[in-house]
Parts: sequence; structure tokens; C-alpha cells
Amino acid sequence: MKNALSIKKITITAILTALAIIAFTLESLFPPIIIPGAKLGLSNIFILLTFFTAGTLYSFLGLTVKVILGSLFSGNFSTLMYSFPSGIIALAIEILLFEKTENVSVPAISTVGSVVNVFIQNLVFCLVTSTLEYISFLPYLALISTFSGLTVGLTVYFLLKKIPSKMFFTIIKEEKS
Amino acid sequence: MDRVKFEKIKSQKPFSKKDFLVFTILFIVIITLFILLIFLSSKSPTKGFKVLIDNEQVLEFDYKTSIAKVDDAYKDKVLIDYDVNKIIVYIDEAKTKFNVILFDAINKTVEISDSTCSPSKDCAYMPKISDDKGVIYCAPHALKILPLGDNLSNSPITG
Repeated sequence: MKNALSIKKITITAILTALAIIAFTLESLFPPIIIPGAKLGLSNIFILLTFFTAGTLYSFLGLTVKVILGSLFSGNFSTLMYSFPSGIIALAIEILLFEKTENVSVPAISTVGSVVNVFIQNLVFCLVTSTLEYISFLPYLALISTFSGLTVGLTVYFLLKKIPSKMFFTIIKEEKS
Repeated sequence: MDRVKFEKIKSQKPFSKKDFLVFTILFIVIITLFILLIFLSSKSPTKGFKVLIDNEQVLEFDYKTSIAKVDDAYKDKVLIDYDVNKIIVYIDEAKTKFNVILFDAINKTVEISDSTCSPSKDCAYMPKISDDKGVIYCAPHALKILPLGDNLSNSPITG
């Protein structure tokens, strides 16, 4: 039964991760929003959905695969060095917020994650590339990430509301057996 | 994912009262960042710019003389067209990877106008350097453009 459970969760994770990679690659084809590095981060919709449908471990796996393959497919492998640590830390904070706080909504959690993501990304970028001048982009990036996080969070919330519960219930049932 | 939490999300409204606290904290953080940015950024005019690859200087451009001094090691990799204020810096020996730099010696600005670094060409969308605090960085090519302040470098560079 455990194997069946893992296979089902792996399947869900694989599908959502594939969608995340497609979103990530498509987004990388477009110019940045207002300033370099700023984008909607639509791929995070699928990573958050992985967390809510398959669980913590699977969402981290999905994120890792998304960042590595996404960087490869978008032809910009150098982004890996700063988008990977920021993604992991942001997701960890989102999960902690969800698990440890009461009544904080999914859009709010996603917004916090998005802002944390640009903070870490900007800091790592500055340190790795020895361009501390880029710190001056941080306020603008934080502001843009608030809106992008909110967009992602609201999308995840409405998707969770609209996707039939049957899909999730099956998993929960299997978890118990 | 436990069922109780899942049901909670399903029954939740898009926003809750506690979100107010979260968004207030975020608002304060962002406002603080903008205030810090305003107070900490004392900008002054730039006298030129320098281009580096992997933190190694490629060339230095002085707005006053409008002449670029190219490092010996990069002479074959730099193409300068003073008529259209354009510098092409080739990254590889085969000259398939490059960045196109546009300079304006009168208005003392420099920018990247084109690059082969990635489909999104992030570096080409970076703001022009018009003061001593700006920087343009092309991560895939590890190419950096920095402004020159009062002290132009005295490194042995030949043009």
C-alpha cells in the first residue's frame, strides 16, 4: 500500500512539476517586468499545489527538479546558483507559516514566500557576482514580488477550491491505510 | 497533507483577518527599504565606465576623451565603432557569444543593447548607467559594466 501511495504522489508531483517547468521556461522567454529579475513566478503555482496535494517532501523535490531543468531548458543555467537557495528557503518559510500559524490565508503565505524569495535571491546574486550595487533593486523587487506572490496565492487558492476533492481524498485515504 | 487542514483551506475565504498583520509587516519592510534606498544613495556623475569579464578588466572608456582603452588580452575580442557609439565584446573565441554595449559620451550613459546570453536577455533590460552607483551585470557571460568615479584607473592598458 505504501508503494501505491508513493507512486500516486510521485505521479501528481511529476505532472505538477512538468507544468511548473513549462511555466518557468515560457516565462523566461519574456522580458522582465519593469526591472531585471522581476517576473510573475507562475511556476510557483504548481510547486505550492504539489505541497497541498502531495506533501512537504514532494514539493521540495518538485522545486529542485523545476529549478534545475527549468534553468537548463531556458538556456540560462547561471540562474541556478541564486534561484535554487532562494526557492528552497522561500518554500520552507511558506510551509512553516502554513503549518505553524492559524488562519493565515494561502495568498498571504504565498506573498510572504515571494518576498522572501527575492530577498534571498538578490542577496545571493550580489554576493556571488560581487555586485553589491544590485541591493538598490531590492525595494522595487520586493514591491513587485508582493503583487506576484498575491497573484500566485490567489490562483492556488481558487484552484484548490475548484479542483474536485476526490483527487485529494484518495490520497488522504491511502495515507491512513 | 492532513484532511483537517485541507478542509480548512477549502472552507477558507481568500483572505483572513490575520492576513492584515502579515501584509502590514510586509508593507513596513518595503517602505523601510525604500527609505533606506533614498537616504543611502548619494549619487555623483561618472567619468566613464569599465567592462569586466570574470572580474578581469576588458576595457575602460573615458567620456572626456571618448576613447576606449582595451586590455591587451582582449584586443581580439573587442570591436569598437565610434561612429555609432557601439562596442561589441565577444565572450568566446569563436565569436558566437557577445554583448553589444552602447555608450553616449555626451550624456555620459552606457547600456547593453543586445546579447546572446539567454532568450530573455535580462542584461539588455537593465537601466542605463548614468551615475557612479549603477552597474550592469550579464550573469551567463559574467560580464560586468561599472562606472568610473573620480579616479580613472592607471593600469597599463593600451588602445
